Amino acid sequence: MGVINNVTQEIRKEGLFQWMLRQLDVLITRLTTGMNWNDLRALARGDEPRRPNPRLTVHSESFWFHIKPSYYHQSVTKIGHTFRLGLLSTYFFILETITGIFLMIFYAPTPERAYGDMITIMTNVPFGQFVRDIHRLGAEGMVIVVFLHMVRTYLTGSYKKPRQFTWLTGVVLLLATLLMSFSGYLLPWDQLAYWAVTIGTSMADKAPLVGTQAKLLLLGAPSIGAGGLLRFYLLHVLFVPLAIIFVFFIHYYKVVRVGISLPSSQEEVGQDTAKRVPADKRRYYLPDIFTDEMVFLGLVTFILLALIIFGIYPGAPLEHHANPNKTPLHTEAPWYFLWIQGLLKLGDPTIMGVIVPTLVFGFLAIIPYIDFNPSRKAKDRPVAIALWMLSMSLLVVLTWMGTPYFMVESPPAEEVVQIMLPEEKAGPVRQTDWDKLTLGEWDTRNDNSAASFETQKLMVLFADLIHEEHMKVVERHEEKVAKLEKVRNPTPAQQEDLANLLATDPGLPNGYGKLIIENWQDSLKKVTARVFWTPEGSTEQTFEKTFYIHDQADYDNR
Amino acid sequence: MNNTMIKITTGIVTMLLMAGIFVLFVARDEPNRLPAKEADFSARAVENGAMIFEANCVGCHGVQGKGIPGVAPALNSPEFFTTRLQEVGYVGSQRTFIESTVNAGRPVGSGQYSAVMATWGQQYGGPLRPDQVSDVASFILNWEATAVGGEGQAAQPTPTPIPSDASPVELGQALYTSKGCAGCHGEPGGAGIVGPSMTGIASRAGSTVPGQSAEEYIHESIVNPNAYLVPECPTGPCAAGLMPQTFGTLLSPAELDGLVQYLMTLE
Repeated sequence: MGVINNVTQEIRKEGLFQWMLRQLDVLITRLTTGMNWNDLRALARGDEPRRPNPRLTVHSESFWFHIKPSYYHQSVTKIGHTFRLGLLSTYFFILETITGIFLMIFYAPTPERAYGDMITIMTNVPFGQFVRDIHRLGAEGMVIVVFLHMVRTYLTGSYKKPRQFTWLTGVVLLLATLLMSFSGYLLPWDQLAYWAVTIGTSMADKAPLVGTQAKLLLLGAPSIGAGGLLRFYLLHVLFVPLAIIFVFFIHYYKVVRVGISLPSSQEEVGQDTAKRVPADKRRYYLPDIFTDEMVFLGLVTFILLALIIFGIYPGAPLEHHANPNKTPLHTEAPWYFLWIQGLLKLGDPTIMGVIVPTLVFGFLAIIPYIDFNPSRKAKDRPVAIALWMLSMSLLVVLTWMGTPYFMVESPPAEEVVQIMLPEEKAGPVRQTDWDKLTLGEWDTRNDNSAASFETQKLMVLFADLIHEEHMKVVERHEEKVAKLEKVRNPTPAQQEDLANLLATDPGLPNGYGKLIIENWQDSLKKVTARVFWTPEGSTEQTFEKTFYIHDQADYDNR
Repeated sequence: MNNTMIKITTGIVTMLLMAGIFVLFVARDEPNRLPAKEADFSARAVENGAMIFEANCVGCHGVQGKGIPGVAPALNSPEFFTTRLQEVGYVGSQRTFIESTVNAGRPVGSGQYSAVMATWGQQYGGPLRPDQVSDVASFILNWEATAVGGEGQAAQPTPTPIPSDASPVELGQALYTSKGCAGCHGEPGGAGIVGPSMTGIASRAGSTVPGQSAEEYIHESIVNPNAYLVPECPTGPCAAGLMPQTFGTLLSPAELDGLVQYLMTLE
């Protein structure tokens, strides 16, 4: 009864309205762990805080704010110093978690259901495709941002004493990010997923000593199947995220503990004054940095969503159902692993696919421990900067070498048909209006004026492609001949090679193509693409492939 | 207004506007996008199904599902879509009828058709994954519009007419096509598909089973396929019971004779 009496007396004294306002203020102070309404207002207005500073109370009392330092050196808060790439990596991790949980609701990791669930997400879940696109773009964005974060740290020399261990945990986080992307790659269970991961896990197989065991552990079977899918799923949603959270907190603790390194121009060589911030150089987290970060992340979210909604980002693809019996003409690793695929083309898979990448990441990890140069100034680090430039160029070249444009010689006729009517994606024939695919047998040598303009255009393209692919082979031959002519004493094997060039790889001499378009079913046309060529002294050769095209299928829109 | 105020206001306004506008943007399109996307994927299922049908089913069910008389029924006929379920006493949907038949085969033979419906589904030991079975069903169901809608009436299977004054060899050649021999044994002169190729059968037949002439051997192989099994079929050792046992009763003696004589020309 005493409590109620007290309250009644208070209300009598202050009036009900004033009393309620005061209670509200108490509530606000509790919620903000230390700031009342006037403090919040002052914060928003940019006024000086009262003394004792309630904004510091927030940092000492609130869990989330205690993680953040209460002030930074003003030199490290400029966007051009860190580009806020660490914050951005964390943001992407949270974005991926939220969108990932949304997707998990509609997805079961079994070969029988996975692909069907993907279709359901795209066709029957409101916002399903939208969220999937964000998840995919976020994953690619996270790889880029984590990579750039490391590049920035390297270029400003921020990995040097006392931040060596921060860098080391950063390398672990980079690896975890890549593993995160890679394990997620398999989950849609389409051709893209299946074959990209097949390449990846076949590399694990090549690891010395433990290779076979490692692959078995990863897949639960000699090849990708139900076991592999479940294991990749668990890696993706449980194991790797937990590892990332674990290492992230070590990483971030180190960042706060030793402070963000100042621009090298502001310090003597060997000095580290990040934690000794003079009072006039402080920028407080509340409100300045906090609002900076929120505006920054708001803008990033804006850009991400705009990329998706205006179709600038082509969206997460979904190819045909995974089919172990059908290898695509070109299998390509995800772009951030193309450099490994490029390496693989250069030599022994054990060396190029396992040992070299291990050395690369191992070297990355120990950089701070083998770089004895105390200076962080670029002009004092010619070797380090040159090494960086060299590795970036190598990365670009190797990435290019990983694409099918390098050292992949597929039969030219197959290549022509693959361009006209790719196994996946649209291609010119499917992009043509379905009604405008005129029924009949069309020949690139003939005048096809009976066909629709669109079909005629296809036939012109068909003829051009056959010519182009033939010329590629001719150029290839000329290169080989030129190379062999430089050899002073060609071995018999080399001479035989030269003599057999035309026999083994004739290109498409006297090539022409036919497109046979038949009405097959309601809204379904059968399209047969045939390529003919006649090598010298031989009979006519042919390659053909049949496709069915449905009026309603819309490969353009993924 | 000082700097902080401007930043806070811009930040909050940008974020709220952005979130609102973008979600509205997507929400506005969702009611149209979802069905369009569904039609897209249904269409892709038909395309996939067509590929699978072409590769596995035309041997018995004929090109475009026209059926081969005496071998396997047409799948593009009005009857298939209107009365078949009642005839066999099936109470499920047309789709589940097709899917279960493709998956599990036909446990009970039908006197009308000689070919055996194999178990195509992976869970029954066949080659097709569940999604592929579903795609084949989508393709077959896509005939319904033309079959029942009237346009497709012409697509009814019509047996190749055999002229009454045809020679036995001509009769045999027509039977080879119309009874669906080519479905398993391949076109004359070509490779076999499931059963052994008939190319050069006339030269081999005489020496296959000791004591049997070429004609006797061919005749027996048609009416009683299990009497002698050649060791090599395109898909492995030839299995007993794979070839229908009913040709002896399906074909008249004159027809049998014609078929044997025709095969004897394949040297």
